[in-house]
Amino acid sequence: MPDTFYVGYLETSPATARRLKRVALALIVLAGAAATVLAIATGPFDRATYEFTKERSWEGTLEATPLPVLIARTPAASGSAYSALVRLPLVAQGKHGVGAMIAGLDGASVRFNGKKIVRQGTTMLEVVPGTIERFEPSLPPDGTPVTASRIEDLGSAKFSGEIVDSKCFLGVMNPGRLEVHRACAIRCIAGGIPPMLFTRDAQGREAHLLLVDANGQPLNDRILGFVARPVTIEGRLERRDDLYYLYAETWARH
Amino acid sequence: MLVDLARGALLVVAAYLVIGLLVAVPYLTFGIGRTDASAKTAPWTFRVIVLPGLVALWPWVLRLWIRPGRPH
Amino acid sequence: MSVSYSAIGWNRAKKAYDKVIVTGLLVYLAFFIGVSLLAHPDATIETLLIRALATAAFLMLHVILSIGPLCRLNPSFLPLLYNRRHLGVTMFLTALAHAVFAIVQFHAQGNENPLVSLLTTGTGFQTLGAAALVIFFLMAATSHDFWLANLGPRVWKTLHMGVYFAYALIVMHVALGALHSEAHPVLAIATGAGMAWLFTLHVVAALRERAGDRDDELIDDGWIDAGPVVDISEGRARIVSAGERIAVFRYDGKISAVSNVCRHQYGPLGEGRVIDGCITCPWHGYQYLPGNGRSPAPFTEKVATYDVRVVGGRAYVHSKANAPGTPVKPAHA
Repeated sequence: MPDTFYVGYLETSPATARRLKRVALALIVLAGAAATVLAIATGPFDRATYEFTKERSWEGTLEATPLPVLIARTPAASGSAYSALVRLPLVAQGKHGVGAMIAGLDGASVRFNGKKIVRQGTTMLEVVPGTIERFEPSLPPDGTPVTASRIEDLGSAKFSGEIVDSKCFLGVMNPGRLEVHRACAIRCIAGGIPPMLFTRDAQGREAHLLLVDANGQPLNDRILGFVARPVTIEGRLERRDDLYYLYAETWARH
Repeated sequence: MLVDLARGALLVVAAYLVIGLLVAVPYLTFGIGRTDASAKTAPWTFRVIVLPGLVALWPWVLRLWIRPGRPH
Repeated sequence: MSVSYSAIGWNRAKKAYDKVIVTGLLVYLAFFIGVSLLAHPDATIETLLIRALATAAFLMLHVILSIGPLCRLNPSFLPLLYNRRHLGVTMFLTALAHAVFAIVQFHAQGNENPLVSLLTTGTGFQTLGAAALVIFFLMAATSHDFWLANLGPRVWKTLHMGVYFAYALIVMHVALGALHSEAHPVLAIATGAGMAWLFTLHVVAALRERAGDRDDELIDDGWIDAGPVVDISEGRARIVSAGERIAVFRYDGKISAVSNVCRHQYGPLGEGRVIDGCITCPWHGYQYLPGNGRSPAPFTEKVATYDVRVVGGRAYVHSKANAPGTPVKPAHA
């Protein structure tokens, strides 16, 4: 009876060698198949992007409170007498808020290079260090007058959702939310990235509410324990142009 | 407070590993040949491969160096 | 062995084995990342890398844990066991890469030391993963034969049984982290199926082993009846039990008996063969001369020998072990 006793350091019999080659091939094919299944059947991945290789030039008015934001004009829509304003929240590189980068520039007209972070109607800019400068704004080339920022108080409200760090969530990481991302969100918010409540409206559409405390001050350190877990926040909702701010009074896990 | 604890713990680990290196390198140079005959004539690549373990288990390495004798 | 250590004791079989490991790993990573980019174009590449390495290491761990019990159930799996150590070290390196990328991605470039951040951002699942990684590191760092010789097989094996504890930590790491954030059921199903597979394998193998542990009856002053000589195939053994297992070998018209336990990693010598006059262990091929239980020069391992006799065509072995390396005159079959 042929003996197929395997001794690793001796010459393998041709029959065993053939069998082992087949097993090896099968295992490699299985590896590819497993990878394919696991790669497809997973989620969530959200529609959000980050132009990490592309620096663009941006201009507008800088607003530092309640949160650092660039107020920029979009080109006037046809038939409109005014250019619309859009608000672009600002962050620095890495897990840091802009902080000192914009010292003394509140209300100024500024120009800088930045990278675009976009998710479902909210655009954020990562400011490239050393590129911020003041400049004198000229009249818009097409002659349309510059509109003033529109600030609307939408009253008290209660929202349930997830507190995320706006930078990762809006596109720098995908998925930039949930438990696996929680540590990073905590690190980002602790470093000054504006926290945001990710929630859905009655129609199931995404809403992004920038979070500050009842007095419009940063509340980063106070909400670290509530990040990336289901939470309910009560406060005053405000809309400035196209951006929502929630002046949070109370927040609790649920 | 938790941050201080974490910093302290990491310092302890770092100190442990530094001591490990201070034990492992001399042991690899002088001691290993005496405690293990097969290691005496081994190539330098062998010493590189056992280095991480020597660093991680340096208290035991010291014991082996001071009182050589193969356990069974 | 009393030969000089090499850094990595490669031979043709181990090189082939390693080629399969590396190819399988690269194929896995390529498919995972490639298919992910097609299926989820907005996914960040760092996230995919972290997940590809994580799932690759997790799958490898299942293969590693399956090899032991599979070999007990069917010896044709033994080629997988021969170089299992390299598979283990590869798994550790893959897990280490996953950990480094994850720590950089989630903790670096912030306002705190990344390792301090890892320990203080209150995410239990990351700490569980880190703890498992420490165990895998200790196992990888002590996988060389130097450690087996200097720690002794008992301590070495106990340390390496830590793989089971590490596996439990990893399952919790996956459950509290990835599964908590995962929208699709496939990963949870795979993890559950993996646990069920490993559990079943181990239980079945353990039950089979238990069956062989029943002590044989002692007759006449401590002798054990090992059965008719003709029932022992040439070059093979019959295993009997008297507190510990004894391998009774038949070879070249002779009968000899040695301890069933190989000095290397406690492999079952009785399931081995006599090759070129030497009892050869089925796990890694360690050899012992049947007449005195000693490894052939230049090796120095020794196993216990047992007195044997053949009466009326039946082999008998005495249950009291002689000191390892004691020469015993073989009985004539």
